[in-house]
Amino acid sequence: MGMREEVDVITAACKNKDIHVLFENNIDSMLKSTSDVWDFIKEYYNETRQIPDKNLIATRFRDFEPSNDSGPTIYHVNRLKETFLDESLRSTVKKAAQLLQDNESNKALSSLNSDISSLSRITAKVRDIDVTDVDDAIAYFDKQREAAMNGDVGIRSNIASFDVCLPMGISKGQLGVLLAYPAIGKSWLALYFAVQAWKNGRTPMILSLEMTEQEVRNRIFAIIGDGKWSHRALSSGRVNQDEFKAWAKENLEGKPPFKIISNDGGSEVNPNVVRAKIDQYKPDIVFIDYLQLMTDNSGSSQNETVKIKNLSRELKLLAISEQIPVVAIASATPDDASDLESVPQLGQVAWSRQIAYDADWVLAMGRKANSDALEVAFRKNRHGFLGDFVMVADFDKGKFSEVYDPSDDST
Amino acid sequence: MTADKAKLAYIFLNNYAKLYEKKYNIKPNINKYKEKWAAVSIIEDYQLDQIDKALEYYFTLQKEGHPLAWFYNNVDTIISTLKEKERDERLRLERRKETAKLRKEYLNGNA
Repeated sequence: MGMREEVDVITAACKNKDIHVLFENNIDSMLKSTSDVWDFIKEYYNETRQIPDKNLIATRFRDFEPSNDSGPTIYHVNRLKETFLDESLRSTVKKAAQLLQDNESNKALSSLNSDISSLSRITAKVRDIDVTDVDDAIAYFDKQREAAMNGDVGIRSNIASFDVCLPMGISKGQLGVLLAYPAIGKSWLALYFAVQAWKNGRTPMILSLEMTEQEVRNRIFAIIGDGKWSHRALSSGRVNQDEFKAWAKENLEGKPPFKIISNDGGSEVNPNVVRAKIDQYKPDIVFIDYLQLMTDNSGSSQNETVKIKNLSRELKLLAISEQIPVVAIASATPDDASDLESVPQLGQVAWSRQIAYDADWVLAMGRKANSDALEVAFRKNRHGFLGDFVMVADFDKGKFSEVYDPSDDST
Repeated sequence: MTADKAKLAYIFLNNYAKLYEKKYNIKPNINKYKEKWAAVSIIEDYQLDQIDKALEYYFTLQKEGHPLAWFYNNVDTIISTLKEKERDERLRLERRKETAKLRKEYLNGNA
């Protein structure tokens, strides 16, 4: 591993006294041969709030020979990153190739996914801004305003009561959660959002772990049909083929792709797999149906609470690092004295509340038995108002419409 | 046990029996004379109308058989859940009105 590059990084940081460059670039994992020197620098810094001189280090560590000419620290950090990436990728590919040779293709894929994901994490940089940097803030406002004027905003749901609560739409890097008790209509609503994104020219990707891809596709046809198709008829194949072909020609041809991913029931789906699929299909938004059926990257399925905690963090990081919105469906668990019809609270996410902490917004839903009226409430929203509204759902036709609320005299 | 309390206990047990029969289409198998003693213990803590509300709500929960004993043991939780639910519904109603207002502005291009 690039011993010379490591020494250059340490020498430069000692000379330029900018240890923060090393901290914000996750340098720990990249300093292999000089990890003892780096540990000493960190200890020294914690004790004295100063960075040791390179000569002091050379005295302490006989085999450490500081470089003579050191430029800016960030230059050397970037060189080290390049070397680190190069060598790590070679080793990752070699490991996968060996597994392939042993006819362990599933293990090879999993190993590739896992190694590449951890490489992305290691080489990522901590981002920071200075609140008092007014120019930076104004540049950001300009960019947002310009984006809004050009129509380049996040994804709209075309449900006005929802969209008004997320002024910039469902935006890149956001983790949204649709929360409800079982059989309320979470998956339908997620698919409705996906179809609206698609109708607006975006590419959605749905990861369905609960339903088969054909079942999801039938629902999507029903929603796109906007009342034309009965979901029940589609599911039983009672469709006039010519009519369907003509409709598909008019409504599906020339439109962006609409990807549905499902597993075969046996394979594990974790955020690394989602990342790989994002790389493969380049979607504009990802829907996960549903969270509790996924596994975390470490595969620690012996404890559901730990799994959901890890998953939550991994999905949030995925959304940020891939700069894509991720909407996860989460099941709610009732307390002993909670009914299954009301709109669940933030703390009722099944197994762990962590997802509620990490999410940018949580849209909770409730529905009375035998009713089509869906009560919808933002339980958390980092980007706007905690809206509340009612929609009538026609689950056979895949239609959702906002309704006049008789308890509201102002409308 | 005073006669008043016993009377309230019987009212409660009759209400329970009615709700049970409505849900399961069968009369519950309860010994009212024996159950009256347990019923009085919750009547001493809450008003009958509060208990009735809690009982009605209890029958909306997914609880197999809706046993009386579970109700006695959890009436405190049910009543506090109901209070929280009512508080949440009031708050959400306010938000719903505000959302409707914002929605109107949004659709008019003013949001």
